[in-house]
Amino acid sequence: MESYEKLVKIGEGTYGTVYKAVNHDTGEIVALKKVRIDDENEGIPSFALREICLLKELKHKNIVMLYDVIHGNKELMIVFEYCDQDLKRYCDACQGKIDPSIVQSFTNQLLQGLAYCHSHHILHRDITPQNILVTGNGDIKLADFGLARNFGIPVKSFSAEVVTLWYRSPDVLLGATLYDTSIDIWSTGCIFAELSNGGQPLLPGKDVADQLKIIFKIFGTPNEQIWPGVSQLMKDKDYPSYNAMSILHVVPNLNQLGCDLFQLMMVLDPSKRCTAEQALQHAYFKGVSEGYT
Amino acid sequence: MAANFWKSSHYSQWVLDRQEILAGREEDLSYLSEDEIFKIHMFFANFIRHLGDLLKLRQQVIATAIVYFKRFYSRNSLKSIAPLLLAPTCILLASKAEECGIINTGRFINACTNVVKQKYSSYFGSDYPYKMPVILECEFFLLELLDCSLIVFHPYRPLLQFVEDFEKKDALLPCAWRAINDSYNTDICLMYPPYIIALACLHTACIIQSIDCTQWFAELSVDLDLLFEVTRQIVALYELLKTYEESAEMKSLLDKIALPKGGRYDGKLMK
Ligand SMILES: Nc1ncnc2c1ncn2[C@@H]1O[C@H](COP(=O)(O)OP(=O)(O)OP(=O)(O)O)[C@@H](O)[C@H]1O
Repeated sequence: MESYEKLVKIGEGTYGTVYKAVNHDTGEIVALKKVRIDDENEGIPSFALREICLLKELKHKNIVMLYDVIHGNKELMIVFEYCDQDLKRYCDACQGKIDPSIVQSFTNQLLQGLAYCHSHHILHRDITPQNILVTGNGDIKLADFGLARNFGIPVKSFSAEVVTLWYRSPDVLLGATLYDTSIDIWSTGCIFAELSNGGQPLLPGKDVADQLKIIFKIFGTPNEQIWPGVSQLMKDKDYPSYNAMSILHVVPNLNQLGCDLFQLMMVLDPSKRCTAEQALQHAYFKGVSEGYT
Repeated sequence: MAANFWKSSHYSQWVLDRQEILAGREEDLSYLSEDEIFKIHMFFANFIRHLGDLLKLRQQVIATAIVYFKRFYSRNSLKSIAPLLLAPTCILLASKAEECGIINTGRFINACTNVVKQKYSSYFGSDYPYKMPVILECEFFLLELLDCSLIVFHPYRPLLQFVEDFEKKDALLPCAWRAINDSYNTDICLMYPPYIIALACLHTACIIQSIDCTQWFAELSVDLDLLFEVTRQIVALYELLKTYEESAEMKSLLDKIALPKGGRYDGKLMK
């Protein structure tokens, strides 16, 4: 069995700690996710198992590679390819200014990873800057598939508590329990805007009600005309009626094509939101570069 | 993930040919015949079904568990881990991989005990001999041996599509569906892509119900020789089941694979 030596702690997730480590047999640097097996009776936690078996199927340059799984005493080590940092830390280090070509490249890579997941009938369900990794070469890798789902078999009620609040789509916020790939597109649109605004989160709500209010303030309060069926979702509460803001105020640093793509991704009605495949075909990505070139 | 079988680990790592399977069973073949190995596998596939039914698991989860079981013993001797321990472990792992909610430990062990009591006491006495910590240790060996390939494709969904073309679909579907269920008694699920198995089961159903399907199959762009090979295996299974008396033979077969007293169940894998 290969022997890994932990070097430093690089992250703390809800179900484990992530370390930078070195494989002594090969000298390779890897990321080790240590999952505690608290409940001795449960065995391998099911979210860890989901992540392992989905990543086993997903082999793509924009999805973090699974190398190995090691059983320890009361813990499970999942070995991943190492990436320098997550997108949140990357943005923090940029101090409010991210080059438009990087915004374009990162968004493009993110969509490529996502299109690949979706073509495998897998929803990520938790696209946030913490779960997107950036390598030293400027490659983007999707990580943390602990919440991801296979939507091959129709599942009636997904749990509604998916996706960190700021990146959660309006349909999920309104309590929709049947959703699809469009929820990942909304999250990606939020990140697209965040990158273009130099790392400033687009929709930093405090709670579900506040989150919806911020969304409606920017994109307008939805009605039956633009989103058939929404009145049913909104029937329990009163929402102030806002008109959509000019997109130029929302993503001022995006060029016209970028603004157009952003709007296609942020359609309130999930059935009208563009798909990852469609987004990748958009003229905004013409001449996009991979990584820092 | 139906659309992407061709990119899956199932396709790239786990469609085995007969030679590979025989090579993996070399040790067992030194004291069992091929036919005896097949009978032991069928016995435990049924054990998995009974346990899955008791736990109210979906057909697909049960099928996945049987595939894990067969994959494991395509690379390990039946003496490396007792099948009576591995069979429930396969159910446990499949239930996690197929997202059907967590099975409470107490309920799980109870179900194991009840299955043994109700259906298998003549073979195993009245108690299920393994405790949860042992099953959980085994769960990890299984995950490792499967090389984390837990997503398994099954013929059920392709069948639902193919059967749409048939006028007598209401009669054909249950019969073909049953043929798929029965096919898990054999090594078919280790050897062929699910859509071929689905077609073969449909073919078998047509034969059983004397429905003329020559034209429909002739128009398919699939390897018909391969397909008919699978059909033959299913038909052969049905022939065998007509006269097979499991209870007469199984006891002595189970004795043959019994672990030596005091031997570690995982001795081979710990190497
Ligand atoms: N392969 C990797 N390379 C470098 N850093 C990583 C890697 N994987 C994870 N990290 C870091 O560790 C952090 C936590 O990882 P991850 O999100 O996978 O854990 P988690 O327990 O699922 O967390 P949560 O579900 O709360 O987001 C990430 O935000 C990231 O900063």
